[in-house]
Amino acid sequence: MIRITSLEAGILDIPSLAISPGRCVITGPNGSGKTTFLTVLAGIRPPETGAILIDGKNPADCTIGWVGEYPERNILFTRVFDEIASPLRFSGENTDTTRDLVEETAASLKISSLLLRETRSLSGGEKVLVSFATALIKKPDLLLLDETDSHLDEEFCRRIDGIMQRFHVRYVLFSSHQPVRMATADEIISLEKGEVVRICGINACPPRKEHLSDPGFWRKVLQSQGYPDRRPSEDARIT
Amino acid sequence: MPGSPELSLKGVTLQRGSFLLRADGVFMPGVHLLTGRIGSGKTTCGKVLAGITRPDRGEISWSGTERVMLLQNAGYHVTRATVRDEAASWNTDPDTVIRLAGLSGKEELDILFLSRGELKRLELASLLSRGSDLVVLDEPFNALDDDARRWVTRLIAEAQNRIVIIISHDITSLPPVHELWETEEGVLKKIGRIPGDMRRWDKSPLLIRYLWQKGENPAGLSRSDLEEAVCRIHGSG
Repeated sequence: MIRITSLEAGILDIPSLAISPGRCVITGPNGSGKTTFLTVLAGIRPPETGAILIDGKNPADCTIGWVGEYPERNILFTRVFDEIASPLRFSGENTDTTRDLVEETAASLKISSLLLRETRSLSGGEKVLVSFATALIKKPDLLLLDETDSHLDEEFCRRIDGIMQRFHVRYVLFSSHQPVRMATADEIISLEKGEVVRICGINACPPRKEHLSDPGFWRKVLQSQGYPDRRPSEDARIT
Repeated sequence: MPGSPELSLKGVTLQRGSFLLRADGVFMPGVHLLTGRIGSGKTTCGKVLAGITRPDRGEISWSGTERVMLLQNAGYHVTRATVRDEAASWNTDPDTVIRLAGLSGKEELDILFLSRGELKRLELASLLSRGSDLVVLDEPFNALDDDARRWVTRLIAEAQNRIVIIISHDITSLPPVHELWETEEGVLKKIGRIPGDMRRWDKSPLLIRYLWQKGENPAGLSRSDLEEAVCRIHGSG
């Protein structure tokens, strides 16, 4: 469980909140505090008051992965290999282990052929994949995605969802405005003016005025088009 | 119709590394939706249509006033330090634009203090207030919440006698669309008019496939057309 108590940070004011392992989407109007919430969970921004415990640990003591809306703005290195290796190198991992893990991670994302390319020569989709590889290489306890899917197409989102499943990330928290993306989450947290107005399971959302705004409707659409239930059975798991 | 803007492309090509864009077509006033997979060349094509990028070969003829483009990341538009100066930099009346964007009271704020959605609203309001004859909007809905999506959809629909090209993979917030285009592996193709040619949309998105599977043909691609088609299956919400 992620347990939040008496949290105040900027606009955010969350007296108490518990988030279960799995996929959780944070939604809410512009300026409601979604990005602030993610940065606090990432340990990037310490809260003014209150505490966050991720399975009993402070965010700063957890391994955390982050992918933003425009991943290319966070890419630091010239060569793809060095970009994906950077979290390991920053934490002083030895070169053999680093090389092995970079190759293994790239293979798992099916981007081995990109490793020697220059990051600036990549297409938009390839940059997203490199950013996911970089975020996943240290096997994060918590993966945070700040509207990463806002300009990705359906098939690409499906590919990314498959990658996150294979890495068995315990907590995936992502912000989104798209009900079709919310439909892929286990839990939906709705923020308004910095406060949690609702947390509900995907099948327990209150009805919306329009079907197109209703994650429950989109779950039906996804299922009817053969999108698998996102929880793979044990034997279907890879790596 | 005198004074009606028109953009036509003939044999246009542009090479970028191993990527080759090829584009032919004529764009008349109305709302055009340009879709396609990630990496298929939507944005590159949009930049050529807006006149930002010059192609290597081919002919582009344009009759009309200026062409403008909203970039995917609104942050790349910022050239001034405050909200008011940024709005004024578009040569429109800043107070009108700021009111339109719902940012009254934030005129003197540092532009970097706006949320992503607020910045996107400001750049959209500025750009759409200039009365340009051709507007390319690259993913205009991302970073916007439901209210803001309705707002921008209304703004786009209100513009008369101009060519609006919306690049988007998200079809749930659109105004009435007149023509549908697609890029596939770098080639721009016109699928046809909406709703008449919608069935020719081979790579139609999830929701359209779902509606067809249920025997429903939406009357168009606007949000209300799609919602109505869903209501015919599931009843009103």
